[in-house]
Amino acid sequence: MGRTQPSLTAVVDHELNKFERVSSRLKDEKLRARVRALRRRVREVEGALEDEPTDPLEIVLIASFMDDRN
Amino acid sequence: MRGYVIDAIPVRGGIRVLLDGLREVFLKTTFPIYVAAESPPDFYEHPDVTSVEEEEWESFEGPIKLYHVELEDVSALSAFRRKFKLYNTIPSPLAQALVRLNVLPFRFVDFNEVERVLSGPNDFPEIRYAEIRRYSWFGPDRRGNRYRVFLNGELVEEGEGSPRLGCDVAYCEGECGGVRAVLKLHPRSRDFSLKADIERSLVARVPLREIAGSSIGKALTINETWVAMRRRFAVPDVKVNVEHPRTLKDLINDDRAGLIIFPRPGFHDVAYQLDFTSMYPSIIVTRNISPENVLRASGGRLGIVPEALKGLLEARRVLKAVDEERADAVKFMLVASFGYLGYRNSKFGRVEAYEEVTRVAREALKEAIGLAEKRGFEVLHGIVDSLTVKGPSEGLEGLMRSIEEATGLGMRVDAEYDWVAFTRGLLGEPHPQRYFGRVRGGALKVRGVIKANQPNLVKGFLLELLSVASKEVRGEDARRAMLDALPSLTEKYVRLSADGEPLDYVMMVRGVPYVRGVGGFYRAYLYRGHDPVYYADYVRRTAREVRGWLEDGI
Repeated sequence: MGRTQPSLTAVVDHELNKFERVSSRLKDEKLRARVRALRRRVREVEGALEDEPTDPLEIVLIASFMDDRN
Repeated sequence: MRGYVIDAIPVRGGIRVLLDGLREVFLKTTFPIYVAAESPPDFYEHPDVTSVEEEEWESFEGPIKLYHVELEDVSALSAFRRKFKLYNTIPSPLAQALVRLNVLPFRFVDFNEVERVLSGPNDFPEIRYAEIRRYSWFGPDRRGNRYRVFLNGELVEEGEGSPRLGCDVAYCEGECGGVRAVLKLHPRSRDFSLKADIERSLVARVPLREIAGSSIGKALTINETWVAMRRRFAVPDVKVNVEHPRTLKDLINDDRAGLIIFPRPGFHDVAYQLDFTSMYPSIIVTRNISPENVLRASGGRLGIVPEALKGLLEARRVLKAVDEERADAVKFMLVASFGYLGYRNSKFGRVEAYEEVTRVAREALKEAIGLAEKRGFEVLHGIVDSLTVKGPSEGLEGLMRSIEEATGLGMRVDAEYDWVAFTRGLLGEPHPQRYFGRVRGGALKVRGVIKANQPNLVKGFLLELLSVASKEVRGEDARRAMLDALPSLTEKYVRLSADGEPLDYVMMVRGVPYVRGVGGFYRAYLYRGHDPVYYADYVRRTAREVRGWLEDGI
């Protein structure tokens, strides 16, 4: 909550930013579009995992599965 | 003599009590301090000590022996502070002496009676209180040459230079040589009005000068300390605060903030925003969460913090029917109560107590969401103590009652929306706290969309755009109206970024006015030109973000 741990949302965004940097280095437009779509979903997953001890990367991963489904 | 107590000045052997109408009474008294010492030192070596008593007190560390020393002159306190560990120094020895004498700030007092206070617990003093606010060309400015005088909350005079008036209490900004008052203060912050500070002085039972311009937590802490002192619970000057040991896993589980249900971006027709009333203070009171009992059994007794907050909650409830501004003054103390519970340097701060409050709050919000969904409502958004739902209006009352029953916390409808729109950031992620909607009757409720540090030009752009939306009763119509108006308004404000008024380019950052010039940002006490490209880009960027919100549709 900020006292001892960084905000989960900020860490998830940090992971997404890493994906975005990689996609632009790879010059992969498809990957970049997927990361953009991920951003729109990821908060929903974050909310759904509220009660679970979660790794931020896990949140991004689940959001990417969800994106495939939709 | 009788009158309203405006101020009190400690002097050797007593207190000069200043009353309304520039009158004064002298009361003979001594000032109490509480000293911790292993073996009884010879306090009488100090010439100002009039009596010493050994007393047993409770403390965060268990029972403790304190020496209750009475001083003839309060200035001797600093000598004791240098030499010993002191307890109960807040409220000040002056405030403690006043309460002992039954002379309370801003109460009507008859000095010939034993029960001196004549005014009722909820009476506001019938005095003349004035605020002198200063302004410059860009808005509020402590160093500005223009002034406005507010007497008992009403604007009575505007001008340049220095005002002249007589009153009982005055808050001054800048030069106030022409103001004649019993108590004249220059508070550092402008956050609270004089009326709000008088209310806090009444509630905390300390002279105004002790809380004027200080943080909201001071009045709150004083209130809690009064409760502690009544229970003979000693409050140290500096408290040692060590968290109990726990595993990393437990820490991750425990150390979490309020629950946020990220909203579904887009426009939603007919929705209701339900709020838990004073959620965190109510949790502290109903669940009896206090730093001294969070890690050990309370034995069924209400803790110090809950008892203090219970009084404040009751005061706010009563004042709400009397005067909204006074109720708000108490409300801000309640708002601060939760943060101070977790703040390790606060007198009654303990992070475990704070974590327990957020845990209960998260459970309550989850419970509310579950009940709403069970009753056929769709939950659009949830944040800490507030829930926005969509569903049958006839079921709303039943839903609120069931949430109240399940959680033990009060609920109220904060807004009935004709439509509400939740937004996204430029990168596409939904904003937890940036939304706008039209409430029944046509007014707009806007949160987080217009920010304090935006240039006035951008604020104007957003306000004009939102006012277009406010005319529409359906969400889809509002969205279309905004989409239609967006290009022409963007163009208008991009044009203004070159040929507007200097005031358009001002942005306030933490109370300091800035303008972006071609050489960078500068403090806008004097206008020295602006960078039109920066402002045009700002407007275009904002327009792009707004377009993103509008694309989400219904």
